[in-house]
Amino acid sequence: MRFASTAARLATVSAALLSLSAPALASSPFAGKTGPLSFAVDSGKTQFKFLSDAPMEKVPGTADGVTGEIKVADAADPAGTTAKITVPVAKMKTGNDMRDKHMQGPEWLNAGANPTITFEINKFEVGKVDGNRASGKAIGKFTMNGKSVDKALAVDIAYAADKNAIKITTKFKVSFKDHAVKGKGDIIGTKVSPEVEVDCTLYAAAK
Amino acid sequence: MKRWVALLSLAATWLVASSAVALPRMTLTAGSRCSNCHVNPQGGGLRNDMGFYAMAQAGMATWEQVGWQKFHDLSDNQAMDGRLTYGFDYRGVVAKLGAPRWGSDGQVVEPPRIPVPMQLTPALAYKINDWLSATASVNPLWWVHSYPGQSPADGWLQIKPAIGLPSLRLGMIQPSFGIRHDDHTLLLRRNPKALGQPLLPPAYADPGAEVNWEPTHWLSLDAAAVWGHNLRLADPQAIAADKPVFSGRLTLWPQVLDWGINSWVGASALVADGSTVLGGHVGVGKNYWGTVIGEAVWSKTRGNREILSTLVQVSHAIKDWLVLEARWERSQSTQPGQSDGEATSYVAGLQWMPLPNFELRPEYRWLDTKDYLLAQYTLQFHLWL
Repeated sequence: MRFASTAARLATVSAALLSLSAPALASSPFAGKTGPLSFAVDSGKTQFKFLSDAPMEKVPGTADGVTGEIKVADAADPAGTTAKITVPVAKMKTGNDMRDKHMQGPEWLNAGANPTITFEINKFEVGKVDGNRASGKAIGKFTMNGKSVDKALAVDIAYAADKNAIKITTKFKVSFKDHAVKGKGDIIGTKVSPEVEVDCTLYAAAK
Repeated sequence: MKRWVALLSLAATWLVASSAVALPRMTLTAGSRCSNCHVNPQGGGLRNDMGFYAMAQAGMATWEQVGWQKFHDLSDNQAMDGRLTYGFDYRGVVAKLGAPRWGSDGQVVEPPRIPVPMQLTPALAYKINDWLSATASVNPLWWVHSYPGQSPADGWLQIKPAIGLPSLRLGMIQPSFGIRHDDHTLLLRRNPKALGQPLLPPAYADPGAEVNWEPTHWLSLDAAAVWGHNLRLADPQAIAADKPVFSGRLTLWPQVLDWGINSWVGASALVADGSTVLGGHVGVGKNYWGTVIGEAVWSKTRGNREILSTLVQVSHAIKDWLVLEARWERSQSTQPGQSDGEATSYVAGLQWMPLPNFELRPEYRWLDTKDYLLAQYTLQFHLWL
């Protein structure tokens, strides 16, 4: 009994000593930085790909001209990060001129009335941080065809301290139904998938 | 080598001449299969809702701009809540048809350049229920002019339980073989010793059945059995009497999506009354750029007539309504006790759509046979819905 009590005391003391000697768990990939940071999306370098994988046809696509701004309120605590990323519908391509025209037309993404697809991030939930890399959830409002839905995207962030630039990668799905995209006839579900897979690698440099 | 060339050529001659217009290059630049846009799973002819939709805006100008507002406003080619699909193809050519001859004055006399209506084909498809449909088309110009073996009509019932499962067509059909080209004059489809008689005539069809199966994005399989009556009329040397004809085709559709590369590669076989036709086809396309297509067909008939034909075709899309195209073909035939046949063809031209659903195809054609050389410009035109 006496032995057990001594052992418990020793364990408590050891734990306290260990907690003092170990470095604090990192909560931000912006190691060594404090205060606000601001990044502008590098349109030339950013890659935005999408894929419709329907039973009768696989249609891949890309978008050029992705723009945006990412504001980190406090580099030591990125939870307050906000951002707005914009994809111009007119610069989305599917590998075929006629198909591009249709995709941008009124029955699909309606570029005339809604020229951009946007994702406005108002919160960032930090997950695992490993040095200058972090994973987490970007939470915000995703708008396509003029209709917005709340979305939480799993993202990976890598911060290049020497260049003061970040790379953000994410994969997610966008449902036509969520954004009131009706398409033409019964094409959605047979030749165009109801959900489009998006694969984005965003590069942004400090402003 | 010669033998292989002949092999590839005959198969195409027999089987691929098509009644209506499928553009194989489109499958390669868009990465779509023929069945995505055509009611007929092997492509060509009546377009489905997607096929109509895909081409409804493809033109240098719009119908609205030339004052045809009603045509411009046509949003689809369907009626009765999508159950009925309708359309037509009208094709013709202005060309010198036939072979040059020696005139009485010792000068070469070329055939006159004349307009020739080739096809006027209204077509209907009716969706009876989710798995059964009926399709039919008729070509009234058949009664004006037709090739031996050409059918004035085709039509079939199609049973298609679901996407990804095999479908069955029953009726007057053309068995799938090689690429279904839109040009009726390909050497691939003809005997170099008798160019006026296509081995597989445009709009060829015989009664029978075909199973078409597209189980995945990258594979399609076709197998057919037809009663070879019209095929016998087209090439009596190949089929002496009405006999069953069996055919099969396998096509792989590899894509490199990140590079915008689409391709297909396949093989076909047809047997009938002791005659055999084998074919191979390959095509590669790059998004927004163009295509390279190759095909070879070899055949051997009961009388040991062998024909080997090859084709290489390159296209470059300047706009979705303007495409440059060039083609080289060679066909050789051999038969014991007879002289060899040989023909080479070069074609260069444009596929120009001044308006949606209207194509003009100015071309320069150079045909060199053992008997004559004929170089000429031609103009094909095509109006469709």
